[in-house]
Amino acid sequence: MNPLLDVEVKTIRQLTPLVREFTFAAVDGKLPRFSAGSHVQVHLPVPGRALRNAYSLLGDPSEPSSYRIAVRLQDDSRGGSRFLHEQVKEGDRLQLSPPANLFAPSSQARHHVLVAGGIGITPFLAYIAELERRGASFELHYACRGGLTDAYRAELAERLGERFHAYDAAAGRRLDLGEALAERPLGSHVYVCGPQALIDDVRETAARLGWADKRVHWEAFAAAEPGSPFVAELASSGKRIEVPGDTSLLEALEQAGVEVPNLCRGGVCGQCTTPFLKGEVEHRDSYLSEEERTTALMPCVSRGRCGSTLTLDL
Amino acid sequence: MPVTLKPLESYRDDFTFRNSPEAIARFPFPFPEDQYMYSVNIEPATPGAPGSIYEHWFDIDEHYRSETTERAKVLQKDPQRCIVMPHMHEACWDTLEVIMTHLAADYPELFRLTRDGDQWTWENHVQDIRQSFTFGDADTLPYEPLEYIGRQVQGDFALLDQRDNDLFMDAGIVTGPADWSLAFDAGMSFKQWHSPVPMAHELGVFDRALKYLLNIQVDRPVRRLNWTMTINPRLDTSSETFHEWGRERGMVTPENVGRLVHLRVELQFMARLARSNALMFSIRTYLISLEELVTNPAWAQRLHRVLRDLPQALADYKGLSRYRQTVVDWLRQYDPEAAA
Amino acid sequence: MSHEAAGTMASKPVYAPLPETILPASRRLLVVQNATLQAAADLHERLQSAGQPLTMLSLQGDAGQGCNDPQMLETKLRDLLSWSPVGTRLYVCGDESFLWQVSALARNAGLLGEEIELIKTGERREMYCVHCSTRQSIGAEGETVCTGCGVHLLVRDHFSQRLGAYMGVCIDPDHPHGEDKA
Repeated sequence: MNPLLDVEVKTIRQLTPLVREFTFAAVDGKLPRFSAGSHVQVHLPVPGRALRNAYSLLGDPSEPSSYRIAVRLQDDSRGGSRFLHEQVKEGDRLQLSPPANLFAPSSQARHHVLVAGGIGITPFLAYIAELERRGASFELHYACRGGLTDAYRAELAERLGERFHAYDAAAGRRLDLGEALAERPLGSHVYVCGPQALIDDVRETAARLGWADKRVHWEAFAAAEPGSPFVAELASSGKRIEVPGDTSLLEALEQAGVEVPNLCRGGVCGQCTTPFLKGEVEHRDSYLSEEERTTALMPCVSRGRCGSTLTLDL
Repeated sequence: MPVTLKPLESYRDDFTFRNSPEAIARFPFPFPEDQYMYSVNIEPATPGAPGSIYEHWFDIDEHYRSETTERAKVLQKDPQRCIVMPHMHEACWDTLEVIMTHLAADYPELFRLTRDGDQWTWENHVQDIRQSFTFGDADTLPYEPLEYIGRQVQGDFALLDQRDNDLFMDAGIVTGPADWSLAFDAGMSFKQWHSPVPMAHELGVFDRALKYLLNIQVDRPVRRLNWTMTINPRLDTSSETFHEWGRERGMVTPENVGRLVHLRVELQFMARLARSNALMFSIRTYLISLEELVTNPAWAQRLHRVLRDLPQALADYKGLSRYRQTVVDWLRQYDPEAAA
Repeated sequence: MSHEAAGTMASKPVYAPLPETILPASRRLLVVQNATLQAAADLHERLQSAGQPLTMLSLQGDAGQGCNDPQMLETKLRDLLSWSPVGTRLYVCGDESFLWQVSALARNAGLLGEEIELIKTGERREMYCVHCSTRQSIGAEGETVCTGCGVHLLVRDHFSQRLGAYMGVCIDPDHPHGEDKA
């Protein structure tokens, strides 16, 4: 069974100079249903690379005739978002990994406080469809920059009315988390998606206000950053794999035909944890403990030392 | 491959349940080695050989009529064998959808599903059912959706809510458990409901198993086998009725051991439900009497060794202690290496 | 079930004598079964020194501050919770029966288990007969007779937080009602 979904790019909309929306339809058959908060990995046919980027599905989960994602152009990108913005056209065919969910709304929450920073709005577009269907109580706070990273703002304001609060940095409005999280109803949960600084802020503010850890949920759009080239060696076969600076170890392994289970491509989910036997590691993940890092690494984001060899227990 | 359904047999009272030679041949003998110890024996549930119990997601076998009739009896006496917490309704509909679509595709001579948007029509030719309903609207079905489809499929089901990096047994239809109670365990976390299992916690079995289960993806189901033993082909060995069947463990004699003692194997199948993100945990139970089992000499020999050498704590937990020696003594004749 | 697993049962609650750390909160609620007990007084003092607004309710108390009526206590607690914000932590002091009854009420109002700290005093606890679903209050004994169906029960360590009770299961299936064993 082919694990990947073959899709055709049906529609592309440029929402802002930085944000481009893609709608995909299945080439054959139907797209699998997904739960709110799910993401897909888009396999980008960048020449000579196995580049896969993860994007939240922002459609209504109960209407899977198509999938929608919104991509923010990243300046220091390794080319993925740039490829999507500049190379992909309507009618093109791509492959997606099936939806996976690392950021699902809690079944126990009495009230959901959604906090989005810029492109972090995307998973919440699926959330609100699901929460409205459930008849759940929620509010959405959207920190954005008018005209640049405020995609969907107008339609959200119209759809959600009082439940929606936008904070346009270009207009000088800033999100005050202390205010947004104070005196929320008993049973509230908070969900944050956006830049790391926003996530850290929410976690800190919530803790200070006495919110239990289990009420605080976040999804970081982490991705591999470029680094220095190094060599990976597979212990079982002795095979040596060159890992260029702009390629993650996971991508290099995949290009060499070594499949490693993975979900988030960003060092947060733990799926690709790989033991290593020799060599020094530059750990860049947010998952492993210090102790675990002495014998394992996350190849989606972490790297070996420049110019040296890292021996993997593969 | 069409399955031949037997006429009604019973899992209680006169215990007329028997396996045909075909059923014996496809029985999931669970021991890969001569001795047994816990492991995280979870594997991807890739489709198995045609005719095997692993071929389809939901195995319908010759006992379909008997098992579904038994379920109806249990539910009639004790409605608390089906529990659905309020936040699990979507997971129940997911489950209904998964079971209906797979049964209709895999056993088209028995089941049929036609869909027009959310207007569905379901046909079960064995139970003579033709039901039109609105998917998502419980008022259009005679039972709550999990119970509705649960009454037409073999096996128990637990629906697990995934939250806080843990799994919670927040819904289920369980009429044939191996000595546990859904009514008591409902709402528990993964480790809580596994509390009574000896030794496994110290081995870290549940930590690893939980991690594995939390990462199950849609259309990537997994499975494992679990085993115990039962006196008589009794499906309902729940904690609820233990005061009724528990005494049967004391009734085993060298004369009746082959007929009375059954190996009970659970095929546990776990699948991610797409819309609710819940985990569906199906527990499909297979029973075989020792006298049926020993028609396979390799099984007879291996079972002798497994039971002979099983650690006492495990034998106690699985409820085998009272009759273990009688069984081992009887199986010895099938083990060429054992001292006469 | 004829045999209990050796070692501690993972579902069996473990109680700390006093909360080890006082976690941050925006307000605190303290509900005690008996305000005259030293444990309750110690807890009250400890929480008061933590600084945030603290409200205390008691079932029995001195100087007439106790509710004296479980229904009244429940009503007052429900009321308090209905206007408490998230960030509220609950501390309960009493026997196991009391602890889990209050806990169930609090969870129904939206609190998580993590936000409820239970300090146990005394030996009374609840048992659930798995054969007939009857709940009854028992002490520290490991065996009892079900007041609903008359089956002689082993009180297991297997505990349900939802029910707030230990499982009672037939202790001798050969003589479920304790018949003459001759």
